[in-house]
Amino acid sequence: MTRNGGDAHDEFADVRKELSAMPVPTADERLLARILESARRGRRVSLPVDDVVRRRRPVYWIGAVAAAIAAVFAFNQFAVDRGVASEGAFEGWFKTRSAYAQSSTAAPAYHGAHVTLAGRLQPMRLAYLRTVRAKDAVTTLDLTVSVARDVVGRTAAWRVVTTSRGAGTALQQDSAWVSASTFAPLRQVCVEAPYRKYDRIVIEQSFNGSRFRGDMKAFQGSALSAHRRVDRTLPNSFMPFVPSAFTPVFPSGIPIDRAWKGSFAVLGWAIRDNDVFRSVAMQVDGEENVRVPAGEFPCWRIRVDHAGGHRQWFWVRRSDGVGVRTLDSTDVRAQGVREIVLRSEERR
Amino acid sequence: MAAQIEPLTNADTLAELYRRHANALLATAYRLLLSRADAEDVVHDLFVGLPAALLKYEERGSMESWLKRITVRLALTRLRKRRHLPIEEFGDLAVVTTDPVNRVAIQRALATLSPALRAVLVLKELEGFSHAEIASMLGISIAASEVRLHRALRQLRAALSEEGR
Repeated sequence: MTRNGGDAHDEFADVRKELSAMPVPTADERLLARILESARRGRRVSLPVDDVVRRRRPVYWIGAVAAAIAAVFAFNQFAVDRGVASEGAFEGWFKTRSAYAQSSTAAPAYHGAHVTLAGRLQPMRLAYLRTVRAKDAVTTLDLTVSVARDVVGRTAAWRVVTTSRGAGTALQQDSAWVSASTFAPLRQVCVEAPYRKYDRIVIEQSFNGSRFRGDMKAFQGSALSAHRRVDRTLPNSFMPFVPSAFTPVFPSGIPIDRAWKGSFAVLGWAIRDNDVFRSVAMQVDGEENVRVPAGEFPCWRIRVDHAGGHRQWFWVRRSDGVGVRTLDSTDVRAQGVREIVLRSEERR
Repeated sequence: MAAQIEPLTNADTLAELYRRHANALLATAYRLLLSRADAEDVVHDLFVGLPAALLKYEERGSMESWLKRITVRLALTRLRKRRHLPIEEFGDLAVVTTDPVNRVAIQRALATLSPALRAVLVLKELEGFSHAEIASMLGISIAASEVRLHRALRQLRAALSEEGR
């Protein structure tokens, strides 16, 4: 026997030669920085910490990102001050507290929502009005959701673009591509301008099963000011994962009935450990005719419970599963009760 | 022992250990997982846990082989949990051969093997473990390890032929 366990005449010499030439990655300084940061913090850090293109004040920068994310979640004052649709990826449809599923060991409350009616979704353009009623102010914002057929690679897909425009040139646009047959995420691009001290931030994510890679790029003018990469695996126990932009029409693929309940996870920007996704548990709570500016529709009234304990109501049109209204059940963090209603729709 | 544990509170020492061993460990993890991200996670977890792991370290063999065993264990655990094997882009890997087509071909071929067969193949052919060691790591018999290796080589050859068409 040889070292390789074969005969003296190695019948697999050709294969072994190929195998020995297999390339491998090298351990770089980026990985070392991540290890040292994890060791310092006493917990796993998933992101590299040294890949900012220009980092004059690292501590300040990291703090700024944390503050920016916090500000995105606490959108009310931020939005009012800047007149911007500062929803961030998680604020797109469902409001939340700052407790996220991925930082918790708790499993989703219900089985994952199962998409079996993907063919029900149709190209359309939906216009919504968001109103936030705070103690001393009422603010409104227009949102549009466009749903169009597309192709990603060779996969038939839906492209859903949610756009909200604030004062002046302020813009937030979340684009999502999902498989036309399963609604599994394929790609997500989130743009917000301006964003904190930057003129523009762009989050791009590409999905391959439960794996996704992405980039966060922040620009000042046309110059790239900051850049982070992300490469993560989403835990199967929280499936399905839904891009934020897709949430208003995601229920169209689900066979909802009076007894239906299910969980899914809304994907975030993933530039920090705690904004990768957020699990929501939904349960049909009743049937109602809902009157919104776009008309009166028979709807399922769905109770939406967030990992942080916050509750919302979500009315989904029975005929096609399109969301026509959401309403906070309570004033989260005393920042105002948010309501989103369907103003108009256009079939394409 | 104490002399090795104490300096690990110093980031410089951890960095020094990383620079000395990480390349080999990342290669081992990558060959088993065929995913750079997963392999980096394994090496990351190993080094972060190194101060605690060293408390159990008995200096019988070289530190590198001890670290490699831990790497293999972590990678195998990750491999068992993973449902599907991602086919990655291999553009940023160190170039061992100048033929980019073959570079991708061998990895794609390797990815067609079941985790059970690939683990034996990698551990035996690329990492140099004995069948007895592999059997112990995988919880199988020595004979089973030998059979799996033969099957893996046969399937790999077939897969490479497919790639070459």
